Amino acid sequence: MDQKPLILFETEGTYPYSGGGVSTWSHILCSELEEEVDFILLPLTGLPFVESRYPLPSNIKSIIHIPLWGSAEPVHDFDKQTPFSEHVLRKFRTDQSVVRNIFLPMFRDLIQRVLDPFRPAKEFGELIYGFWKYYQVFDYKETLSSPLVWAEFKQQLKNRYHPGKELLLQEEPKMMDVTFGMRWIYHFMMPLAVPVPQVSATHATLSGFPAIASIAAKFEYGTPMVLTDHGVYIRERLVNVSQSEMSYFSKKLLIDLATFITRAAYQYADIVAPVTSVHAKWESDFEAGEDRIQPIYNGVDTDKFYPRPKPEHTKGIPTVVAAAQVFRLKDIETMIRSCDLARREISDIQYILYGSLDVDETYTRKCMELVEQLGIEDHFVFGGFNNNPNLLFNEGDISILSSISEGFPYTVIESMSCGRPVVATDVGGVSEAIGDCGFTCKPRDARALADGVVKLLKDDELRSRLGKKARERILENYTITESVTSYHEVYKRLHNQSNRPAARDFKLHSVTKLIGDLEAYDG
Amino acid sequence: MTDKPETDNPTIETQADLKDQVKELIDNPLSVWAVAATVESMGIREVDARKEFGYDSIFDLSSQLYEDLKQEAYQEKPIASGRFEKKLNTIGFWEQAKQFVTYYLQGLLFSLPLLSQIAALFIFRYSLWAWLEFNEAQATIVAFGTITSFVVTGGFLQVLGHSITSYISSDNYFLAYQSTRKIIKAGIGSVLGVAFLIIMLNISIPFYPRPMVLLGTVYMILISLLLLASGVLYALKRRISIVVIVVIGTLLLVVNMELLQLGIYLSQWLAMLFTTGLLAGYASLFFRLQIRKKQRNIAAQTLPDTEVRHFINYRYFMYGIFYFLFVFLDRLLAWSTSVPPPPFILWFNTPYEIGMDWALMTLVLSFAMLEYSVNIFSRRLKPLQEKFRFQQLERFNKYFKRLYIKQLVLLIVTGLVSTVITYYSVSSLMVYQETIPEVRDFFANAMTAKVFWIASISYVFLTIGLLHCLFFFSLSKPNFAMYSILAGLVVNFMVGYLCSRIFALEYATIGLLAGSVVFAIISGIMAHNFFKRLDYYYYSAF
Repeated sequence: MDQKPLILFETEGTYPYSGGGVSTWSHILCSELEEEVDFILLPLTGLPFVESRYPLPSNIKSIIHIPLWGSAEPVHDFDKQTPFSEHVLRKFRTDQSVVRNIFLPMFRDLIQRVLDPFRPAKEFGELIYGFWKYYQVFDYKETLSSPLVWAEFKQQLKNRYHPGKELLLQEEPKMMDVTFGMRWIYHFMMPLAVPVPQVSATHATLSGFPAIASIAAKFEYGTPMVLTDHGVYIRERLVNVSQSEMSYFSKKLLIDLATFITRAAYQYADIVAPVTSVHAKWESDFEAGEDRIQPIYNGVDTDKFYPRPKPEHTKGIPTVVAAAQVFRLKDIETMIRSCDLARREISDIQYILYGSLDVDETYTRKCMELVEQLGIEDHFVFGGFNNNPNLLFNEGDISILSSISEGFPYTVIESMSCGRPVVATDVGGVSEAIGDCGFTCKPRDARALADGVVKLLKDDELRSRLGKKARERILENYTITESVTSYHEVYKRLHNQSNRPAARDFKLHSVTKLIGDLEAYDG
Repeated sequence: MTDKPETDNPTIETQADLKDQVKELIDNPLSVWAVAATVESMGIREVDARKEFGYDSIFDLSSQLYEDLKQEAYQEKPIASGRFEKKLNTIGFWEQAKQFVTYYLQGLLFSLPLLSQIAALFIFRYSLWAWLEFNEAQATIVAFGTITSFVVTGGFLQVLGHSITSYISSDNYFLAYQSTRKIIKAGIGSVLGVAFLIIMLNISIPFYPRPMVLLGTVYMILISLLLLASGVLYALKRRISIVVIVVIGTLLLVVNMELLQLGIYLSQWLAMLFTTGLLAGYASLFFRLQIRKKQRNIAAQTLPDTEVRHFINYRYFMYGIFYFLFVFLDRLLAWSTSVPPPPFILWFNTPYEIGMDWALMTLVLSFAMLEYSVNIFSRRLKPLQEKFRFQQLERFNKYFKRLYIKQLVLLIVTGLVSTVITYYSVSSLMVYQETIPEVRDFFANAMTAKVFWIASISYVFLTIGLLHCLFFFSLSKPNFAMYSILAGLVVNFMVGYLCSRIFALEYATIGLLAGSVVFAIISGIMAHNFFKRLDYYYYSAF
């Protein structure tokens, strides 16, 4: 064993190619452990054309970038170590008899379980490993574009959506739903073809598709797996997909796929390390055993985020600062309404909202219109993206968070670290973070938020006392060192333990058969 | 004037309020979990579920909401039955007629540059690379240059079409531009390479006198550049621009000939270079404007690795080469044999060429029909996928099979009618035989009519094959096109060679006919399979 742990760090839509909370957390973790731990990044992105948003520290040894869309030969994109000629050979190797005899039985099992994703999750892991083994020998695209695979997919759907079955017309799939359904399986399951390096541990930053690589590594090498939940992936998928404009069948398939992958990921994770303990019910309901749930809280850089006097432009003005991208889950409308209520008590109050306005432009427009309709343009300012998060909280007297869903938000602990007490909605890990150093209230309750704001702004002594207390709470519990050290300890422990590949007594006959067939094929 | 909005959020006071708001967000719920996640996302907490709604947990509350919402959905929404709507194509007659006119006219635009050159020949007696005054040696070497340029650039033209179309379908003009530059660069390299090879080969095995080869090579290079530049604009669907630029180029030729009196070679070369420059300049400008307009973020955009690009494109490339070889093969066979034998390896045969050019005119109407057919096929696929229920899968395939057969019949009828029209309209000129010497020359040799008829019938089959190939390309199945044209090419060569050597040179067209029939049949068998399982081919077109 090398001295330093080597971690396969898996992300989706975040680090290092996009900004946001998870990316910030990832960057802090990797940079703070620059001397102690090496990382291989495995980011999943939508399209192939992305650039790192962060200066990558020297301990990031390589990146296995998996673009899920927009690539004609996707496997070659993320498996550059294998020469393209080998990929071409795999294509030629993948004939219809291989698909029929080796692939199809397992694919049948997969589709049955995707459509019924509350079957034993252990089987899901076996299937993931079986497919991963298969794609080490045969071609991903060639296999999934086989007519046999399409016929099998249709057959499985026909078994469920036949004329005798009582269904709402709305629930019955259209041709397009089925076409896109199978294409989604092709795109989302792409990590099945990833080359998995042998590392000390894998670390998935969400219980979604990147964790496929962790499961494969666990079966193949016995690599232990850490899984960090920032929000709860499956819960977020349920919210976003359910409220989308897609057809019923498409929504159901996406949710079933997400359920399949989430349950498999939780099932095989050695350590589930959420950033807050409040989501434990969701996690355990989706197969994360309670004994494996070990929260590791986010931490803030207290040397960077520290109390400073207010700058000139807000001096003397009662100022409430918010750091939030403008989209629905942040419930900016309630924040705006609280501003309208608070200004009736404090006539010169001002709210400054820092955060990107481009995430959901329709929602942003709606919020701006609301400000206009309430006539509070002089009190509520959309400050846009701010590149100095460590300075922005010091512009205010207090900060505010109006989200209806959260994990363990950085914005709360950063504000507290700057000695600015927080008025926030009681969601996710917010109460856990704030403790008794601010005010929390029911989500969507503009009046309660406004009451908290008014109380703190009017009572200088209370505000100052809670501000100091908030800073102390952060120094005691939520420093970056605390958070990073916890992960370092986990990495070291997993690095030093001896691992054995996961048991090979597969429950699924199709997987046992595939492993045998592959051995015979190699032989 | 709008009312001032409420300062407080709408409240959720009862379970019925909650159910209504959940319904508004997710309608017919997917599962209890979906309801629970939605309830939580509305800010309802475990404590609220207990205190305000009287349930032990959010999950219990959500279970009840799920039951209620499902029940409502079954009361309010129609149940799926085994009965299906009888009529699924909602496109009315006038809409169909409008589509036909639009696409057909677009298709005619495709042939306009060719027609403009024929018109120039009639009016001025010359066009960008033809001249009625060329003697047989000149005509031979210019034809040699022309055929070589089509064959050499054919693969690149096909790859250009595929590559540009696939990138601009996702509005990625930046990568479309990058790939175009690479393909054009490779195309120019190949053209120059072939030119060099021809000259070197002629030095070691002289098949033409050196000045002739040099002349042919110059034409080959210039025509190739013109084809490559226009290929880019064809792929970008800038057809009117091509016509305008070709006309401008032709006008320059007239100026060169009539005003500047530069002589035919220099006049044509300058005009071709000028036309190519205009085409390339316009294409480049068009790309840059589109990139500026549609693509702000081009960070990290790169083309796939070279070997991957070659792997993706090679079938299109081979098809392009095979296609142009197929089209010109009969000429090569006919011009390489005669009694007495030709003076050089290939020798232009005027009556044969006139017959072929005459037949070429029959293609104008058929090509326009191809444009119509492939467009309505692609445009109906997605809407009908959205419309047909999964249980109607077989009907979906049958619908398109019928659509295909309709297109096939339309194409055959158009081809035959077009042949008859072309024959009689050209034949009607016979009345001028006594007064116009060119007309007399045109009809002087019986071979011309014979070649016309066989080639025209061949072209009917060729366009059938092309129709199939366009269907294959539209769903990314270039293999089918490549193999069927290859089969046609082999038969074209074998039959054409035997017939031209055993009977007479004009029977090289029998090879073209046999090859076209084989091309149409083999691609037809594939098309039969393609439409029978269209749902699969649509799925796998990724």
